[in-house]
Amino acid sequence: MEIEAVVNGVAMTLQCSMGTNLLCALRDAGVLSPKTACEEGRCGACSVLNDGAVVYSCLLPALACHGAAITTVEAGVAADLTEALVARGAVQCGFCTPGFVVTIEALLARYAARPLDDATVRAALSGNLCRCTGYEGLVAATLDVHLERTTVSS
Amino acid sequence: MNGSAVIRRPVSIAEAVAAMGECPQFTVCAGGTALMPGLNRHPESVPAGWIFLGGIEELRGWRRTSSGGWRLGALVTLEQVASLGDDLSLLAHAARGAGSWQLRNAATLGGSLVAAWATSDVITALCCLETQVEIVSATGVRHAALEEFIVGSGHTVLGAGELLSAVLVGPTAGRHSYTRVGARAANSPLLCALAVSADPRLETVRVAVADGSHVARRAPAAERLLFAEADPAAFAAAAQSVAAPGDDALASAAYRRHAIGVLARRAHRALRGGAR
Repeated sequence: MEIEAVVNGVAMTLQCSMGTNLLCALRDAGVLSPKTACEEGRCGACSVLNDGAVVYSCLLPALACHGAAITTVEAGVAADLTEALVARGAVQCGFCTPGFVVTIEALLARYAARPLDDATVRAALSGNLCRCTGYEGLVAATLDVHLERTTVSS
Repeated sequence: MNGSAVIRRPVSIAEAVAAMGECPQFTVCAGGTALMPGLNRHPESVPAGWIFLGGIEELRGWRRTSSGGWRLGALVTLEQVASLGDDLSLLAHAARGAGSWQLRNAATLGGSLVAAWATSDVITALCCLETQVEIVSATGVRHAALEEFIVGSGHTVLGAGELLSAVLVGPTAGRHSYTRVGARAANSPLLCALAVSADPRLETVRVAVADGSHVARRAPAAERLLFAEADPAAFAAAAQSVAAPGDDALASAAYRRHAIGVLARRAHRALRGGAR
């Protein structure tokens, strides 16, 4: 079986079977940034944007995504976020990073014209697990980029 | 793909009900978040076919009803519920505790009721909101009160060929409170929770208690005591009396029962003080 989806702006045909989740269909098609870990919607390593909303790709039947627009970090990662993550020591083994980047960019888009505080960032990132960094760097990097982008644009 | 005999993508409630009648063995899928963990773990349990509800616009959105309540489509996501304002802030507050952002973006209100998990925050809040569900089948539309619809953890009276199409909530003005205990501040299933609503005249009081082991249930003795009894201990004991929590890896039964008492005393203080 197969579905048609726009992945990172490119129309693709994804192969799948009846019970395949979107994560497996993406990885089978060579889109390897979403990671397979818990496969029960706890760890966030498989986070992608589905028509603009951040979701767990392991909890979506691939067949439900016919016609969807899927975005992963293969679409590109903004230089300011990369620099902030490195500067804050928010990347160690890197396994969780693609999922975090998708969630952080979705959060920054949502708060593009609004103040963003520490508690909001922690709640928004609570669906992504990182077993290396202890989260402080991830939260700080998110707030750094938010401050930078909102200051520049105002 | 759209024409496949085993994949149905209805675009109306009528089409969905027809597909369910034709293919009763197919799996009906709204957001997928309740179905997929099991399917990922047991790939051999692959569905015979899918009926995906995502294309049915008439299952989306929410509006006020003529009786002053609200009608929420079955496909309203928990993230949308979490964003609802004033009138539905009890339900919105509860939805904010449900899972993570990623989960709430996919999980639907209708799916939450059909899954009927004991750890459901939105079910706990809906117990205090005079909730009815609207159910459509080939033979017509019926309504069921929430407490009749959910008969136990993971079990509802939804029959073969029936689709939960909307959730109807009564007038919501008045005082309310939603408090929960989880293993951490966000993205953790409730260990226990307490929802309370009272109409503006404080005549109709509803208290619902979730203990993590059973779907939330009302606590009628606590409802009578909230504004009649100044002693928070009596109210807390009445709330605890409807709980029958179990022990599991997350918390002991004793901890859950104790925490329900703490939540009840906080709600007693906040609501009698007039805090909304």
